Amino acid sequence: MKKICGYDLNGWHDTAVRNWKILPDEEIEFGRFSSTSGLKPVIVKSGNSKSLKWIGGHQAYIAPHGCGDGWGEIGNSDRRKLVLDILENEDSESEELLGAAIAGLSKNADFAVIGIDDLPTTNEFFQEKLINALGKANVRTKLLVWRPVLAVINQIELGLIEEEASVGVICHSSNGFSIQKLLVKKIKHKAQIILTPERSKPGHLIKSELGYNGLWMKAHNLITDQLNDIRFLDAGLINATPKLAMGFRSKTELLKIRNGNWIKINPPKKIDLADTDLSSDLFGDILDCDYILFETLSKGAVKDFLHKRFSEIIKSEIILLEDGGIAKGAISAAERLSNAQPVYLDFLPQISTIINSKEGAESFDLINDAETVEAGQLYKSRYPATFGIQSGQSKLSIYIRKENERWPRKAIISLGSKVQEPTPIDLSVEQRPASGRAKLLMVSSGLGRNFTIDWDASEVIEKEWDILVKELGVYSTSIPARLVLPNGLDAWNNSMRSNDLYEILHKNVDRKKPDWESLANKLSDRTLKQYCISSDGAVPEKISQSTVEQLDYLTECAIVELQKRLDGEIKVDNNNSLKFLTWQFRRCPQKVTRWLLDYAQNKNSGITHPFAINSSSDILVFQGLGRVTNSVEAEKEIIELILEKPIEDWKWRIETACLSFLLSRSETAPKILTRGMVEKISKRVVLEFRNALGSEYTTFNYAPLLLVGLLRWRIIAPNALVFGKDKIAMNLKQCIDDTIKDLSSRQKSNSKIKKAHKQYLPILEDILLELNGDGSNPELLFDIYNM
Amino acid sequence: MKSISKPWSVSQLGENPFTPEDCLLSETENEKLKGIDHSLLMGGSYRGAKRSLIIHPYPRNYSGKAPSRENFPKRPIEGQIPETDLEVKAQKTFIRMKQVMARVQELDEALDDPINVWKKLKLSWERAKDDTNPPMSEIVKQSKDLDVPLTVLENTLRRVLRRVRKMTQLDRVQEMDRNSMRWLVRQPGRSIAEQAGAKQRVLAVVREENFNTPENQVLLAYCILASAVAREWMLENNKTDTTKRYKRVKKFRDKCLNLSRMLKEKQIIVAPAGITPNYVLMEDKSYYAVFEAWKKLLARKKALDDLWAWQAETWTDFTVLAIIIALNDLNETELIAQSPLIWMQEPMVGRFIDQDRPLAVFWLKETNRVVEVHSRPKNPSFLQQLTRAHVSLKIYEPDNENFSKRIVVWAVHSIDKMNLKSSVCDARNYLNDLQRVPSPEKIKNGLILMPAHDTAEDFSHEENKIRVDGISFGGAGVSLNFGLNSIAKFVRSDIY
Repeated sequence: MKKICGYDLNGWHDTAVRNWKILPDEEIEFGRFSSTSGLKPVIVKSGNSKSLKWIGGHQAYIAPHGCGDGWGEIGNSDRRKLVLDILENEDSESEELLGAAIAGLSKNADFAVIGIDDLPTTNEFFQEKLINALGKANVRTKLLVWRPVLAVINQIELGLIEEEASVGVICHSSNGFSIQKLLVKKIKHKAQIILTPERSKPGHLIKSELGYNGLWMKAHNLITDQLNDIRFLDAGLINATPKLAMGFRSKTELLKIRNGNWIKINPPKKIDLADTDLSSDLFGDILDCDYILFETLSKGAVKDFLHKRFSEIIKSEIILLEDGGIAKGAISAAERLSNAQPVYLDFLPQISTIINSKEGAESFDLINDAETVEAGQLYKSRYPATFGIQSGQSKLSIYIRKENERWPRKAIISLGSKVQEPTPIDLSVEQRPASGRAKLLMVSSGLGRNFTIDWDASEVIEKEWDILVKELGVYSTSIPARLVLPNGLDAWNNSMRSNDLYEILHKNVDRKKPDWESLANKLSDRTLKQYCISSDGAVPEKISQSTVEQLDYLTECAIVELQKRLDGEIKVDNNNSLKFLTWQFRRCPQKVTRWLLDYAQNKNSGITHPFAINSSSDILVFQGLGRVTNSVEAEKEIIELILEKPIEDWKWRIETACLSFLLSRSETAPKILTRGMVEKISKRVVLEFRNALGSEYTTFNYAPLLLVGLLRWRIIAPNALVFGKDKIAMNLKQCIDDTIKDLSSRQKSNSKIKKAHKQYLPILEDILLELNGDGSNPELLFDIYNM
Repeated sequence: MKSISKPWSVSQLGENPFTPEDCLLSETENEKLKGIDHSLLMGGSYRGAKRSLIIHPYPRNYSGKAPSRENFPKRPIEGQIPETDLEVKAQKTFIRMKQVMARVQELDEALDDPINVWKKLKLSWERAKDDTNPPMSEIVKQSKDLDVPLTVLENTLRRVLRRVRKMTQLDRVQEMDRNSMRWLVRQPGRSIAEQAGAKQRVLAVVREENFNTPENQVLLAYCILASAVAREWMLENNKTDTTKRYKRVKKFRDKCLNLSRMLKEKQIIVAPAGITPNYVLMEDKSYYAVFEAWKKLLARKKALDDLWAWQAETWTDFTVLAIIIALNDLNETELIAQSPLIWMQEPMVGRFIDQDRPLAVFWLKETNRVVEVHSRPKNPSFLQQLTRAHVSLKIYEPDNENFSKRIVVWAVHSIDKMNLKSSVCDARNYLNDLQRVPSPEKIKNGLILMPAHDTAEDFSHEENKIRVDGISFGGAGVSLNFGLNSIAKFVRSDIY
């Protein structure tokens, strides 16, 4: 037969009821046996420093440990702890101590149920602690059940409550009375009808001086007054105090005083009870119930007073739960547990997250409302929240809110490595009622990996949930990532067209007139999609310091030469040294930006600039500006300069290229744009797209780059340029659609169109997604550049 | 170190060795006891100097050194038939020891119900008054605790699938290894079908069930050992074959025998004693229970050796329990405080329980006295140190600060029989001598509790208002009954 036990661990009068007892001949007798730990139970530390052990239950109750100096060394107060204090203590050490308190009542049960207060203080952390503590008492299968539920189960087992009845339960607690309303449901289990209480919302506390703490204080004061003339005796250590507080009959008690001798005290018989803080409005929730149960650990006059008072307030019959009713309910619940019958139905506290949809961020509940779960059963979210992981993403931020926690939290999930392609990931909740923390699981079949969100390790966001959702709502549209053209050693090495850069630098470093042409050609040469210097101006890490110094020296020489040209000291019929400088991208000294800007600003003034050599000088200067500009001020000047010119007069290799370089490669340039500027640029984009229709798409290179660069304006204007919301986006979408149509219809006409179709179609489709705000290709700009 | 024969001995043994007549006690003052086999009975200090009363174990093999002990009997082997006088003496001592041990072990069960622990212990002891109840022992415990795990394992014996090479039908071949491939290429024929021959079988790897795993080897070793130990126990207690306990052990032995037969049939071999436990032995509940029980049975000889050596310590615990039971049984008493009793799964120097002091405090309401039971005190008074009694009853009168008395209890144990009457007289004289010691405390009452060898008896001697009572009793049967009654009589008498 299975060993079954029900515990009521409340810190005021702990009780266990079990179904077995060991007889002197080691036979086991089955029946109902109750054990209690006495009033205001304690645990005590027994043994010497080598073998300390915490003991609970009746052995601790009658132990002299911690009872004062009269007992010698063991009377030290650190050898005694109140179970009530341990229950309220939040540190993890208390798990061990709670285990001692439980084991002191009963241990080695196969199935056990323990009652927990239906109050917000019974949080998930406490529930876990209690479950682990039950493990310390060698309990095999354990379940935590709310005390009001146990009270109702007790009444159901006694046959006093009918099906479909609503039951209001008043539980006497430390700070007053906890109120809960339960519904008794019929559940069919193996051709048997089981009446099962259903809990659909958390209980609440009505604070009162008649709570155990209030009663205790009254008794404590009375006893302290009586002990007034006896020094060093604490009313808290006298058995009569809790007895008096809870209406138990107190009798003459012997106390050991400081010198080791014994004295007798005759405690007062009762405390004065007066109710000042209870009224019927406080019990409105349960007034309409079919039955009203009142559960208290008190006895005698205290119990009678409370019963009478509640009868007056509630004005209907109050069923008084028998002594030890919760523990008896607990063993009945444990019996149900052992027979796999339903114990009770419980709701789960809501857990929500924030997801992004077309309408922006919104709160998503992971637990179905109005759904209750059978005790012990695992609840799994029916509809998980789905998040999209973008390719290249290696971390995922998730916002979580728990109903019974004050602030939401932000968890960051590390995916381990960058994700190769957009992958959905589902967030769901797994939880058993009243069994500690919920498990927040993230499952992705695409990644082939699961993640668990650690609530405790997540960052607390001290913001109201609704405000957080609103704030996040504005960030929902995708933003194309900045383009960084990578550098690489391959570009430095020999290629079909040139020698390696080391050699070129070495050869030219000592020359009076360096060969700027070969230097410039080498720097502008792109091998395996890599330049010698990255668009951010970085040299590959493996390049030696001496080589970098050679490059720096030649850069200085080029600057000197250009300065001389500007000063009119020398005349050169090519711009190779300038080209050499601009292909160093942002590594180029910013002096050059100034010179180039001067050139661009004075282009139409009639003065011949030393850099103006042929028609391609303009291209070099403007594209050079796009490559080398490194400051917000310069970027602003360039953009304003370009936008001064009517868009119809722009040249694709000059203005379009320069702007597209700036917007796609700079972190700051898109932030300079205003709505008006964006509109103007978008018109140019539309124009270039229109012009390309019917052509062979030979002058189309920079239009898509400019378009996507323009979308980076979303950095400062979230949700802008989204199709369906923004007129500009609609125009842009229209011209992309036209281009796709044009390319598709003419793809068989000639090889150039066929090639263009093959190149542009995937890009244009990705751009359409970006326009929808659902961009999924973080390397879109890079892909466009690679065309 | 001063060696003394009995606690009340006036003279010291000096250079003479301890003999079976002695209680093997020594008094030390500020001495280092490294290398001396001992257990502390009572620590303490006097005028800054450390003083302690220590007890030495009985030698494991006739004699012992540090301190010198001679002519002691050797612990009899279970089931051995005694031949010499010394062996007979050893056998009798062994039986007494087992009875006392069984009484103390019954506390473990009684602790299951902490509120009624003394009532339950008394009930158990009352059963022991009846000789027809066989004693508690490790195998009795295991017959109860291991019944379920063995039943579970019998039905769900763990098996593994081992790879073996076998001639296998071609269509059943699932796996081939190097050796079977080598075999195959040596066969004549142009195709595999030809190589497979007339029977169409080739050498291949097949997986076969195998039970010969370390956990099953331990299970078999346990079944063999447990059935042998159960047989020994049954032989010792064959007079009690109608009791439940005997029947249960017998049933358990049969179960072990059947299971060991079944395991042998499955070609399982017996595990060697020092086997390193594998994952299953550590993590599977039933196998773990078997493994732990097996270790306990293997260690039982060592455990018995220890208990034999330290039986005087077990005797102290037994006498303290007897006093508490007697006090608790008085109609007027209320147990007002009791230090938690921590049951030690492995006895340490003959002690099964660990407890703080005072062990128990009773309020005798009608007599208006409070009685505290102290055992092995940590900070005894100087006078108590001089009495060399490591058990005492401290008596107070509530609300009367001037009344406090101490009754010293000598829980003495020796292999040879002690003369109760002369012991009582000597102890009284010793207490009488102590009256001259200047001390705020006066000790005028003493109680000697010693093991009864043939018949239990009691004796009391009072002179000059100094009184010592002596009770000799045993751990079972009439002797226990007599002892409990005599102690009850003593606590009821006008000792206060």
